[in-house]
Amino acid sequence: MSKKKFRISVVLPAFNEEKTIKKVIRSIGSWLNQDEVSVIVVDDGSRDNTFFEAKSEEALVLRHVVNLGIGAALLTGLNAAESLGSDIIVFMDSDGQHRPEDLTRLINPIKEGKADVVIGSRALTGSKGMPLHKHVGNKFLTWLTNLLGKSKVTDSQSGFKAFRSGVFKKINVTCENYAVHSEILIKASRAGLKIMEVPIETRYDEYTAWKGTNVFSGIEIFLSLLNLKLRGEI
Amino acid sequence: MILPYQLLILCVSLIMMYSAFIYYKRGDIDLFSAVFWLTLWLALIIISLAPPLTLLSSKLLGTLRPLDALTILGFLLFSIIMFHMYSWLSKMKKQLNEVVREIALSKLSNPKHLRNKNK
Repeated sequence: MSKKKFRISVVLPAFNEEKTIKKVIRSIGSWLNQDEVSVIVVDDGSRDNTFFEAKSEEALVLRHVVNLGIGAALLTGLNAAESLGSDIIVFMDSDGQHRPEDLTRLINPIKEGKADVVIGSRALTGSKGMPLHKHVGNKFLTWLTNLLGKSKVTDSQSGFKAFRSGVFKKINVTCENYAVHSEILIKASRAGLKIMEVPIETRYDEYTAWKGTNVFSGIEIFLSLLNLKLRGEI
Repeated sequence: MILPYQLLILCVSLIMMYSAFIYYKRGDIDLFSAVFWLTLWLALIIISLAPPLTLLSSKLLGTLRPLDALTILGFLLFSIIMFHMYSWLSKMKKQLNEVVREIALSKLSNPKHLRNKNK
């Protein structure tokens, strides 16, 4: 593997994550100690102490003064990562459900030039512990993403992804809600970018099981993708 | 003699016309919007005080009863208003997102976030 020191930005969109944000930020550095790492926390209008908890850590903390949604937070983080001149950009959840030890597995294919986009797929480890409503929704949205993007991914809704920075010069991301994950994959696939999946395990507990997507956000994703299709963007 | 429903429409319409006028004076709405709302409430007052006028709308739209014609016209009018409000809200949401993102990204000059910089 190349010995080049990469500039990696880990984007953590956070909404009311005061309980977990510190631990997640601290855990990242210990697993990416060979590279120059920026942790970018985008506090998406939290009503709790997320902003100040994150600010006390070694992280760049950006704040949305009002809550805009996950997609908007990711796009802000993406803009910041590009401004910092990152080679690799990673999206990771800030509720602690993603294991930091999977970070190297996620970014290595990009470092080695084998992939432009790497998805941390929960389906490759049997979606262990995933609540039924998320499992069914994920299956449907992954099928739809594959249909629209002519791709063969197994977990389109995973929030744990890594990108070669040049990806976002080739695709224009516009969705500001949960549909952003599908939109990126569909556009990346259509642009002929190399998409790879690596197996990851997620920790689901009482706190994380009911966060993130639900049936309503599933419907919102479906409508957003339909909207993109009708506008000819995908 | 004024019937109770006519009195109700008259009172509500006058209050709304007053509100539209105040909003215009305060600069919250422009002249076009003020004229639109004043005309709408004035039309309601005229129709409620002179019900035979609704027969005309019934004849024009080809409905059996005047009430059917008013219902259709009302539904159409409020659909148009809803559509404009939806478009306006979507536009405002997009602009709000841009402003909020600009504010967030204006704090980008903090070097504290870099790890392993000197390794």
